[in-house]
Amino acid sequence: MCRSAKFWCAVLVVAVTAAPSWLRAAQVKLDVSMAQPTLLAEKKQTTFVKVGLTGFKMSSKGKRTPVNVALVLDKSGSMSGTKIAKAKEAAVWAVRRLNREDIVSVVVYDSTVRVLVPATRLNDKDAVCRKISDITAGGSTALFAGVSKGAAELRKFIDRNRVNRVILLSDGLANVGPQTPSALGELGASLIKEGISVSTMGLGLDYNEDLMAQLARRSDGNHIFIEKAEDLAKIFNFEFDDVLSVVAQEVSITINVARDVRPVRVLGMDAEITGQRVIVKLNQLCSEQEKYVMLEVEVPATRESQTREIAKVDVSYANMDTKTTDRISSSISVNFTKSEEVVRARTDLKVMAESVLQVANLQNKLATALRDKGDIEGARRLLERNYVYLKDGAAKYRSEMLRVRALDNQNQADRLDGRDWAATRKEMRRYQHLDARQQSY
Amino acid sequence: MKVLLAEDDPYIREGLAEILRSEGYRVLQAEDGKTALQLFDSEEPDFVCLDIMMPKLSGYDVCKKIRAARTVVPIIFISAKSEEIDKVVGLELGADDFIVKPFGVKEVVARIRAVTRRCRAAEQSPEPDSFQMGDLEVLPRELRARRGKQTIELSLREVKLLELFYRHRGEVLDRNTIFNHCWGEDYLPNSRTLDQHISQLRKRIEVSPKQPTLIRTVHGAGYRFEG
Amino acid sequence: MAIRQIILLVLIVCLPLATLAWLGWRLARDEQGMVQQRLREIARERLEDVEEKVAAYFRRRENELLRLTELESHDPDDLRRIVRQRPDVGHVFVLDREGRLVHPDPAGMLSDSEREFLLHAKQMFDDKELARAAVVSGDDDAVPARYGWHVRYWGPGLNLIFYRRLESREVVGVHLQRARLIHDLIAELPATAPPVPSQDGFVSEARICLVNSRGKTEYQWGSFEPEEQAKPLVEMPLCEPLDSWRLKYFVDDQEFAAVGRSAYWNLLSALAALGLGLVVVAVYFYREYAREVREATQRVNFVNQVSHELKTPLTNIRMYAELLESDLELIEPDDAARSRGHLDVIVAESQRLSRLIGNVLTFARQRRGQLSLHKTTRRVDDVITAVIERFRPALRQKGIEVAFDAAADAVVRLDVDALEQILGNLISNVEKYAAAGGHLEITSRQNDAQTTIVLTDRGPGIPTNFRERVFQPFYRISDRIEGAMGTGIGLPIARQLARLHGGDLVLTSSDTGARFQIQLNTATPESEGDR
Repeated sequence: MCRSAKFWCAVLVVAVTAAPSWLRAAQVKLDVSMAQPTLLAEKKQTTFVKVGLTGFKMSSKGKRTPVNVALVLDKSGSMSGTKIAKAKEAAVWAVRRLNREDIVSVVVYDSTVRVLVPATRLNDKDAVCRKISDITAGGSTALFAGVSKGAAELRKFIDRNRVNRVILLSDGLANVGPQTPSALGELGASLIKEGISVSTMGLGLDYNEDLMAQLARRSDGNHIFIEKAEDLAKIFNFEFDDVLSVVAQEVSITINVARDVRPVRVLGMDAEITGQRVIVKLNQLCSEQEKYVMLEVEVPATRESQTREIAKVDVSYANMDTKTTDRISSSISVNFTKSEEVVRARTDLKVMAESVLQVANLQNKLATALRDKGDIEGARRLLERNYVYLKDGAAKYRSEMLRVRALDNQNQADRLDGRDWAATRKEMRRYQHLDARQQSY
Repeated sequence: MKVLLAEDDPYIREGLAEILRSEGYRVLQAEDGKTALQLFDSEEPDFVCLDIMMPKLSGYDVCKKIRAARTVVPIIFISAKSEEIDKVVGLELGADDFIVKPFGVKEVVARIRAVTRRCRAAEQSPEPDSFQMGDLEVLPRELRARRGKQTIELSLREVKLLELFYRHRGEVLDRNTIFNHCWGEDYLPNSRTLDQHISQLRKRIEVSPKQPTLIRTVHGAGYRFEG
Repeated sequence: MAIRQIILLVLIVCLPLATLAWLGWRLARDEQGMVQQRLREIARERLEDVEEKVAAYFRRRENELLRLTELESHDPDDLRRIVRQRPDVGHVFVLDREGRLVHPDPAGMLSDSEREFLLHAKQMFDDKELARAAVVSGDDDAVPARYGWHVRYWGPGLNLIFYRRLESREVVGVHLQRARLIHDLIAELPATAPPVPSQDGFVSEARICLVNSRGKTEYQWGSFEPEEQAKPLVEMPLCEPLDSWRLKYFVDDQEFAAVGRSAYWNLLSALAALGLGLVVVAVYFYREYAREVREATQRVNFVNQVSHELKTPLTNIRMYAELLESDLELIEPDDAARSRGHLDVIVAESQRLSRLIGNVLTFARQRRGQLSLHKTTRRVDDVITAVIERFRPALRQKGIEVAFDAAADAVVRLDVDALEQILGNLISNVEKYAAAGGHLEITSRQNDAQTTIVLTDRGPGIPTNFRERVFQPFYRISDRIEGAMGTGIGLPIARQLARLHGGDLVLTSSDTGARFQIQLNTATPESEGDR
């Protein structure tokens, strides 16, 4: 071959291999891993399967998914003063971050709901901001109705190619309409089926954190506890960071566990386990952010030489970049050894740490439940055990995250009585939520 | 006899005073209620003639005050007020009679004589009830004289004259004596007045006044009753 | 102003006012009632609109669910996918022809959520309620209900289940997630609108509440905030299948009670205006009346004053004339004859004047109804004699001879002035009209209680048809009679006085001239204590 042809071939090869970065559309990265890729043989045991999904970067810089957001603001009497002032500031500031492509609606509620700004393209930001500034506080709290009307506004322009999110800000207890965590959780669960997530921000020490957390959890939204109204702007910022960086929606994860392996539970998330099938729904994935499903499985005793398939994972999602539904699959197996050394050596530290985190999270939830029953001692003991557990895990799996969490648990153990408890509980819930869902802020 | 006359109109007052004087009464004149009361207190008249509408004090008020002091004094109201209620009030206040203007002289005279009769009837008097002058029976208390069936009304003065004549029957009475006895200090009439009165008297009591039989003229001296 | 008049005026003002106030108040109350009723109707209409929205929603759901339950396969996976995908569906189940649960299979593998559902709905399945509900009446030939709604209560409250009976006689049921159901309703129903400026008579703010079977509010809207225990203006149940839920319409009770109160204000202002008008009218009439009364009083006072004023000079004229007379008596008669004649005239005229004044006064008093008698004890004949004496000069001058046949000399109770006035008027009439006859005959008679005096003249007489008219005031037969002067009140007064005295004055027939008969009640002083 002549030298020019070789040259051109090389150029072609380079081009083809380099093409993916800009020609081939981005995809969510699916990463199924075992906490312990190698298990001890001849022993029935439980272990963890992690199904990790990482959002891609949007193909062109500056491009982002347009949003359809409903701001639901509590303007009941308890919000008057600094709180409502700061909330309005934060809301206005958040609106200014959006552009003409986005759709915004503002719903306020006290005893009844008022649609302040119906869902509209953000052509006139000033008008929206003015309406927000005119809000005055007074009345009781119809939280459920507020969220409902917000979702109704979203529905007007609901589009799987937009990020559809309700952002709820409240400082109090819902006292009009459905007001239990389960009712709000149910609502969240139904909204997520439509592709709507509700992020809930609890302001101050008087809100019902269970209610807000449930709503967020079941609809795959964020939940945060804001102690001071001054932090509102910062929090809104984080939330909008989150909203504006969604790259995939309607993520459906189906894990078909192998026949002899028993799916025990999914840690930290709602999952539908029917027989061998585990279905988990996530609403969205953000750019370069990982979310995972931690599935605990029971593996039967297996002989050393065997490799056992654990599960087959199918994921489908709406790709915000290409506006298509992508499907990706993977599967995972384990092998067995008689050597504990080998098991230990092969342990996926990160995954293990994450599983520890999730288990500790469950324990933390239990501690909350104990303390709710009045068993301060029991709760404290549990938290201290959690602390030890996490500390050990931090050491064993070299996880900074676990160390931090250990200290948190120890800290919480000291603040279980008196006035501290209200704040402590909210904090616990917030971290429980954060860890379970890998909330970004 | 003394009469208190209270009347604000000067003509009526003067006229009435003249009538009363010619009847033989001494007249005390008052032109308003206050003066009337003062005179009543100071002079103690035998009876009172009151006009009702007077300045300073009305006739009614004077009557009330008089009655409060001495109940028996006869009071005659003389007034233009002739309404029923006025008469009733007047008489209930204790007046004895009520004369309405305009009145006739004869009416006034008759009323006054009637009142006088009542006064004299009530008085204790040493004088006899009647005396005889010829065929004339004189009843001084009644201010009357009788001749058979005929009754003759007399004025006080005329009665006084007859009494005088009767007391000095057979004697000649000169004019001065007659004056002193029958006229008092009120005024001094001239002799002609006396003659007129005697002439009047004769017209009353004489059968033929031109030829008197009871009271004879004594030329240059006076008069005499031939008993 | 008399009390009676004041009461009358007050009544004139108050009675119509009171009547109108009562009527008007009833009217206003009715109007208020009507306005309030209207508001209730409007509220009801609004609730009906809401109910219609909800009914429409359920109709849509029915259609959707009918399409959904057009299942070909009852594959569990497919059914579970439906649940996973539809936000409103909580659970799906299938019953076989016998009403036994096929899916979710109680014996099979169930998710937590399915297990929970079966627990709650256990009774429904055991009792085969749906299977039975799916058949109308026990008749096999009857067409069974194809589909419908079933209500069960568990957990927080009402749960709705849509069921459908397939051709194959299997039943497919869909359990609607409760929170989602409420959410959907909220999405259908209005939010609180910005405040609307209130129109006339409309209550400005309201609140509508959707209340569940336990009485708790599920959703509400409207800017009015009712009190804790406030009662709704209107309420109604929702349509099926949520007929155990109610809609309640709240308004501000005080504002509602005040509605239509403008009617009362209108009434009040109308009454006030009327009252003012009436008061003005009453005041006007009062002033008119008062003025008339004042004028009348003034007139009467004037009359009295005039008569009083006249009496003094009259008295003087007469008195001095009589004094002059007695003065003249002292002079030789022959010299004084002419003077005496002049004097006669003065006296006669003054008497006439007296009589006229007396007539006028009597007339005025009679008009006022204040005429009355004052009796004294007197002899009638004396009075008649005195009157004749007074008239003698005038009569003599006219050439009238008087003959008096006196037979009433008893002392009786008599109003002298009245008799004098009667006689005076009659004799002056003779003097005026019957002088030509030249003769006047007067007779007096008396019995126990009555005195009768008859005056007969020989004048022209009075025609029969005028006999009563002459007694009417101001009536004079004619002006033909020469030289006649008169006020026309002489005879009426004379009769009035006679009648007042318990008798009468009548004109009786006579051959010669006029014949007047006076009758007076003159009971004797012994028999009569008082008048």
